[in-house]
Amino acid sequence: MRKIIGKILPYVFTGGICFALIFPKLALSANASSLAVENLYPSPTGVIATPYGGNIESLTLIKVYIPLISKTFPPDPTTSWYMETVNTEMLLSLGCQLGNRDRELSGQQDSIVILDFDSPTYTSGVYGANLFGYGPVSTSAVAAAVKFFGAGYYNCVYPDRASTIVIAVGTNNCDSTTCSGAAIDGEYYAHGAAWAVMVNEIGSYFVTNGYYPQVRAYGASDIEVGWNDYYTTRQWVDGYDSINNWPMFNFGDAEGCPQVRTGENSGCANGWYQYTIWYVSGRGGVNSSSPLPLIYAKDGANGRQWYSLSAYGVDLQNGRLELQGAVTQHLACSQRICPPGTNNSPQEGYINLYSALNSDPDTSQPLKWSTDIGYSGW
Amino acid sequence: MNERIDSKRNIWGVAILIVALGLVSMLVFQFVLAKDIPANRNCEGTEIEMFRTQLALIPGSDLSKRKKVEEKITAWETMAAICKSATPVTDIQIVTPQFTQISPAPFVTGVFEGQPGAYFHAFEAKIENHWKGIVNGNRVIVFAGAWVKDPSQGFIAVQTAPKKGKPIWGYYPSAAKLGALRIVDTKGSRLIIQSANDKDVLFFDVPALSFVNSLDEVVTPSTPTDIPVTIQPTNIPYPVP
Repeated sequence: MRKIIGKILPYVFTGGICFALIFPKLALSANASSLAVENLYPSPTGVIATPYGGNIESLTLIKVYIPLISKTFPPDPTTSWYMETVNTEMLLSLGCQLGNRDRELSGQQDSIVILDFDSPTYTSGVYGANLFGYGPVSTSAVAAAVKFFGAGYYNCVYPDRASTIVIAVGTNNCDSTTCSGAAIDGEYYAHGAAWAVMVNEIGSYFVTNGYYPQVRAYGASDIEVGWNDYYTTRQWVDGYDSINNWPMFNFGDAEGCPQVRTGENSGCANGWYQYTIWYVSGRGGVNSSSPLPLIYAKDGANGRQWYSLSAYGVDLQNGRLELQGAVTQHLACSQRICPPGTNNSPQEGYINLYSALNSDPDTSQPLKWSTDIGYSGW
Repeated sequence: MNERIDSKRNIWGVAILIVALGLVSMLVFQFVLAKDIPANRNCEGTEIEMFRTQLALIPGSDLSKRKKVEEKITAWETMAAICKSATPVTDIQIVTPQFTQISPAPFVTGVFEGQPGAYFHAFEAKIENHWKGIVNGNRVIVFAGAWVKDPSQGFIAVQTAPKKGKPIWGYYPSAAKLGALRIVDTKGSRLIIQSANDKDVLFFDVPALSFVNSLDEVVTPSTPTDIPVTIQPTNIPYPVP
């Protein structure tokens, strides 16, 4: 017996060491997740209903690391920010945080970060953003802030020059009655164009200074059906689309939209229809927008709403609506109060949306990004 | 006996060699190949492809739209050329854009309609109005409204903004379900709140961060701290949006 053990033991030892070397992240997946976000999130559990009835098993968070391949599912989420300041020192630091994170994560990262500067403003002839009640600030100030964020990332991600980020420079469609700082009645188209000019300037800066393609800036708007009507919102999107050199994202909602494939242009909340959300989310590639929606509901409703929208594209337009990823508000809900059932973790939100889209072969698609948003502070 | 010892030594020697090779390959694959500086920078990325796709989708009869997209493609071809000729900062060199410092906008105090910014999503809460003031040197915003899914539950939410750091939030539902709350007047930093039924009047003391019984009741100021708040589920199930 001792002879057999003596012969086998070296091979067992070697095999164990090799396994641990090749697959270290199986042991460290929980800790690896904590690099990406401020809070640890539990693995999602439970079943997810499909639009056709019946359930599918929820997809379990699995992190497997192989030296040459470092893909995780769901993707490591980034932290996005509701910006309450344009302090360049803070923006440099936030960018550096993300750079550190991408450098420390194994393999090449491809991430999105939303910097949401709040409602559009037009004050004393100057276009800008509301900064959640701490503004307004001009688009020049917003541009400066984003450039510092990009510089912070670029500095701190070194020597990793393979990872990339897209900075989505965000505003929203909240009207001046709901959000008193929003002061652009009658100027939505012009503000959209001004926002595109700002994003063009930021993008040119990154190109000219060699940050691109590692660092890019796109436009973005949190388009929520309950905040404004379609016709006003569309003016902003059309204004952006008139002069932009860079894409934009709609990181809003589809409140009240159906959660099953209807085969028709169904109604949503506040007078919106699926056609109108499809329009502000890119018109199937005709304009420069694409959806990166907020997936907040723990019951899976948001994933199903966007599945229904993607299927609308198949049934009545030029093909399935292509989505970029999922946004959650778990951090924001840990900072301010949220109603129960609206604080998906980034993993839950991503799997929610991915499962719904891939429950139907006509809408089946990959989802590139995952990000969770919170308040920046000062 | 000596042959057995030699055989065991050979086996352990091979094992150690394999481990060493594994460590070296881990280092090579993980830290060099995965993070290597790309030899060629792809300056024609997805952006120009997006505009080419748009051009293909725009009807031939829509000349003005086609012209605009063609101009964007031309602009991108110029940018791609700049990108290829730009010298990226590859050394560990800190770059900092040079810009004029922006002074923060003044914090205007008073009572205002709606919410100060898009804090609460439309599917979450209807904020009737808000108060902005300075309390103990800190900027404070007090929100008054009700939950969308439970409109009978009015609440006050308070955000305290430190000079540096994250905002501190507090949530103060009305004890009775009186509908949406609204700030109708102020006396210093004591707010007079009316309920949706126009019958009930409440008082909220901002320094004390609590409802009080009257406009003149003396209370001890509180220090805002992050209180883990959970909303108790109501009998109304959270409806599917």
